[in-house]
Amino acid sequence: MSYDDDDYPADTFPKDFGYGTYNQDGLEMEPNSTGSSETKPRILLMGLRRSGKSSIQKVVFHKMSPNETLFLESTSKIVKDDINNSSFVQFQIWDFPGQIDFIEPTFDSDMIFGGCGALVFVIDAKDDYNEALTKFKNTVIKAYKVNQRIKFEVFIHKVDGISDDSKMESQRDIHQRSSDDLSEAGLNQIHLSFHLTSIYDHSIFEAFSKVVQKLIPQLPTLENLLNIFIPNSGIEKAFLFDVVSKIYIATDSSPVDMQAYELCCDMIDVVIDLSSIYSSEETAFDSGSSSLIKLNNNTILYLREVNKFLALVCILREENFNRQGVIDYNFICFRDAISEVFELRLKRQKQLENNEDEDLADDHTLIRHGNDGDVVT
Amino acid sequence: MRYPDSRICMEGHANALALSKDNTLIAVAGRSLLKVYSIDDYGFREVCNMRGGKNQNLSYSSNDVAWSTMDCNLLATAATNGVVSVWDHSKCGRQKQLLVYNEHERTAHTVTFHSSEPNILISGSQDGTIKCFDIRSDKSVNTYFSNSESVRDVKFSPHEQNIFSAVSENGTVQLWDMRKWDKCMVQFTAHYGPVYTCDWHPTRKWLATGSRDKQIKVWDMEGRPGLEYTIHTIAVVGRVKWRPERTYHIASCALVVDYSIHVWDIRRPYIPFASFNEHTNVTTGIAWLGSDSHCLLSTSKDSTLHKHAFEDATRPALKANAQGASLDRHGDISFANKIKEYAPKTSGVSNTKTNSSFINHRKAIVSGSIQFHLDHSRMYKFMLKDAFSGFPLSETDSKPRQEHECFIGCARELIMSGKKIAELCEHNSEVSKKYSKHNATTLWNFLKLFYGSNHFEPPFEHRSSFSNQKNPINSRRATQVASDWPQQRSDLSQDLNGNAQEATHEIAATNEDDDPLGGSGVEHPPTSSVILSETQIISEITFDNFELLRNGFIYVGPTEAAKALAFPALHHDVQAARPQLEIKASDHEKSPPPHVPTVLKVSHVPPIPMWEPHKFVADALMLLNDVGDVQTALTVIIALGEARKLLPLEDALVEHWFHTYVDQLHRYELWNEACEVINRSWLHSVQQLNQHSTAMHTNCGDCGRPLGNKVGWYCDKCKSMQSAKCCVCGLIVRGVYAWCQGCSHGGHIEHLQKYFAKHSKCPKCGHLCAYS
Repeated sequence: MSYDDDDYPADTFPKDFGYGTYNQDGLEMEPNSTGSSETKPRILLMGLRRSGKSSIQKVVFHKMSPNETLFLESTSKIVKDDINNSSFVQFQIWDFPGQIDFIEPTFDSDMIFGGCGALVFVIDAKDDYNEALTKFKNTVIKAYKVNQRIKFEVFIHKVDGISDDSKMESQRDIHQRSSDDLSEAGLNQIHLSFHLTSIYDHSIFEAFSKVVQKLIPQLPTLENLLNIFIPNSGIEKAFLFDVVSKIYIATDSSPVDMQAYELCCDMIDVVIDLSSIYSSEETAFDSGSSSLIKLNNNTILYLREVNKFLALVCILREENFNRQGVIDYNFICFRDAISEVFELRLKRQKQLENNEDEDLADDHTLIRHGNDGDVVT
Repeated sequence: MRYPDSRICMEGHANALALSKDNTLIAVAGRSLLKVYSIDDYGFREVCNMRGGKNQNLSYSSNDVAWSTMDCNLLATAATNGVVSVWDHSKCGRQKQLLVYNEHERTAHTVTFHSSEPNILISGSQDGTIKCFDIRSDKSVNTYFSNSESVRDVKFSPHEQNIFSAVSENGTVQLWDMRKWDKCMVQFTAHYGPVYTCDWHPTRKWLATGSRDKQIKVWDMEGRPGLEYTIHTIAVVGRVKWRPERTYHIASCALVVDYSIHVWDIRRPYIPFASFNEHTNVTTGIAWLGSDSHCLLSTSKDSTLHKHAFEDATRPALKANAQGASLDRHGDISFANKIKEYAPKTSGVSNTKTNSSFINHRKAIVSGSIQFHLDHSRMYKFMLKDAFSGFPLSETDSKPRQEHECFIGCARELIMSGKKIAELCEHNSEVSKKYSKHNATTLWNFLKLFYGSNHFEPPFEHRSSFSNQKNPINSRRATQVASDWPQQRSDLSQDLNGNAQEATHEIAATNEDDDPLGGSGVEHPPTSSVILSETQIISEITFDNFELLRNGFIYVGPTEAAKALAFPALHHDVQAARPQLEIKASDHEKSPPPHVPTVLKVSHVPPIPMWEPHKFVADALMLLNDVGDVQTALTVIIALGEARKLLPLEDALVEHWFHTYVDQLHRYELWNEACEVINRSWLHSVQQLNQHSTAMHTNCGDCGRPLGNKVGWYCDKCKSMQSAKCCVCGLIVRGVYAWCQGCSHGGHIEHLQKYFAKHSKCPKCGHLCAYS
């Protein structure tokens, strides 16, 4: 679970997340086009039939309305679906029908599990989950053999239909039984994370955020940057969003309030949708994108583009927005710092260096930026 | 001793506060804030500001602060960048920051000192680790991997040394022994959202946890952790703190929305015992002044530090209404009230009052028990008297019928046609009564009144207020009916029973202009079973009367229900009076109206504010449908026959009801009943249901080929008539040919029945058939 594993797999770093040179005004950033699909955080989505994998994929990454997922055909055979478009996250859905087992020759476990950062196993909370747990156990054992660094995430899905108490009960039960299963198999060291999810609210996005965050080695640095940025700009809460999927890559240390998160998600939708009306699909979100929404409770939502994939959404009180110049300046510092963080990584990667002291170097970047860049308000 | 409220403003958001051991100093930590104040009777005095000067450093932006349990000068902070610092506020300048542990990868959320070892402190962080520091060394002594997303709070147990609890964002609570860093002692899922705070009870082995799921839960940590109490708050719980000297009191503050601090009595978890509403932004830190249960310190994002005196708190619990009543859709009422111990009679009186219309079913559940500890209270449950009298429901045989049994029973016994509406209604209301569907019973009675007789009930004239008139109004109404009726009919001089149809026509003709709903176009069938008529209503009707009438007779909506509840006496009166009325009404049908001189002289027909029952019937049907009783709704429509056209119901809706009901009947395998419903339908699309999939395909028993088109029993391929023969006796079957759908063999049904009484396999091929 700790992020300072020295030999973190290099391929979980998004190569194309780095930046080219700045334009003269120092604001324009060109995403590096050398990125290959292997270098983004990669997530497998598994689970029994009809557990809701395709729905999750459609809702999170294709903006499908949750109600429409009722009409999705069930995915009858193994389907590899890459979400490889413009998202920060690379995501691969691996539909895993009940009758397919690991002996099948088409099942190239080395290929699948080798490059994968996280395995999300979806369990239908409304169903009897005995079969799912057995499947889960087998999957974990197999995957762990191939790749010990895989993070195992369990989505206890479709919890919208069950009561609060039974939500907790099923989480407790599934937790208990799967842990017992694994310790029987002698795999005590595997850590499982559990999330209660539903596509009808934002819990699926939050759970995905947590999963993705674990795959970003720079997360502590990003969080620290946010933690510096926020108090200095008088902001209450800030999220760094992946624009396409609306999952948050990082947020500051204060507790995440679901309503605030939902507001920010909706804001991104509004901005993108509105922007698409007057521009082409490609330019709907670019370096000029920014938006300001004033709510009637003296709160302001402020969105700024960070790069092609990412946007920063802040929640702040109206009186603190008087000093917008300071906030904007701090934001530029923040953006520069982020790009430098990833640039450093990219450089390292190019040089094929051992990334032993990388985290250290990241922190240096951070501190320098923290001290030089941000304005104290 | 009374503490004055006192308040001080600070600069910057505060995130946490902590009290020193001797309760004289208070440390407040926040985004750009770390100050120590001294407390005295007059207020706060700033002792030390640790963020003064130029030395701006990230480790100053604190999430949490804790005082050393031994040394009054030492305090520790946890910073957003993961740094844990130890401070000595007696030193000056930069030396104040004694130690800096920069070990957490991500934000440090919480820090706390060991209760008896002065040098030990632990911190919990977003990176999912808990670290233990010894202030004599500059590195962490131990690291505990909680294996979760992030640790939000850690607290040492006051009862056992070395034991601490850690709560985390995935909703789990862990208990750790400090000496065993490899594995936690106990782990359990406490909430279905992130847990943000926990606090040990000062005297009992209880742990309170507060979470994003808006609940505070109290766990008994003795042995296996068990849930003791749950408090539902209105917002995400930020911090909880047990109140000293009060076993059952706990203070909490919210992270969003709610700026108040609430003190709860955990035995009364629905309403706060006391509230402090001074803050104008989210409260972030609370502490009781030592063991003093009357003084609460709090700090908030509005940059103030408050000292609250408990006497000044608002007491929401006292303002709460001590009575509560609720009504379910069957008409049962539960009622709870506070009882004063010196006046236990109150309850008795109310009992007898309501007994007349309700059976006092279950009473006196609790008296001064756990849930209602503050006041002695009592709860009653009143069931509607089953069948209003006839069907006794004593406590012993009150076993409620299963809903599906009611459904099946009603489906079988309700009749939809073949009799006069009045009889239908009467029968059906009996059936409904039998299955304790009170609403349906009332509705049927109502229908009988309004549609069953061949005239509309002329409404009563008197507008006397119901409330002080215990005398049943209905008797008066009945007399009114008697006096109004002849007035109408005398002119027509028609025999009521014999020439009803004619009479109706005439009335319809005369009233065409006045009656908007008119029904003038309605062709009445010649049978007298469907009798509809419109009569002029001379007497003026006010809407008050309607309201009251409806209260008594038909349950149209929740507001009416509430009214009925509010005047139980009225309810009772009307119900009790109804039988009389019915008798009166039926009397009318039998005997021709006596020619009584009219009391009212009406020179012209006034614009009629006529009351249309149709609308209300339609509403009632909709409501029935909404509460899941499409059965009654549809049966009513069918039973009304032609009268249904008066109801303002859309065909599409009725069609939908048809489909729903037929579907339900099919599900219970009530094929005959479903068929009858379909046959009774006047909607084309419903009638067609019976004509769907009526084709039966047969195939040859020998070769399995489908049998030819021309002759049903002759197989083209085998060139044989084998399929026409009985496989038991070998003769050609005339009449009913029964066969197995599995193997296509069969024969005379009586032969097969005999055969299969002894055997289980097909006589021809050995197939395991199942004739039925």
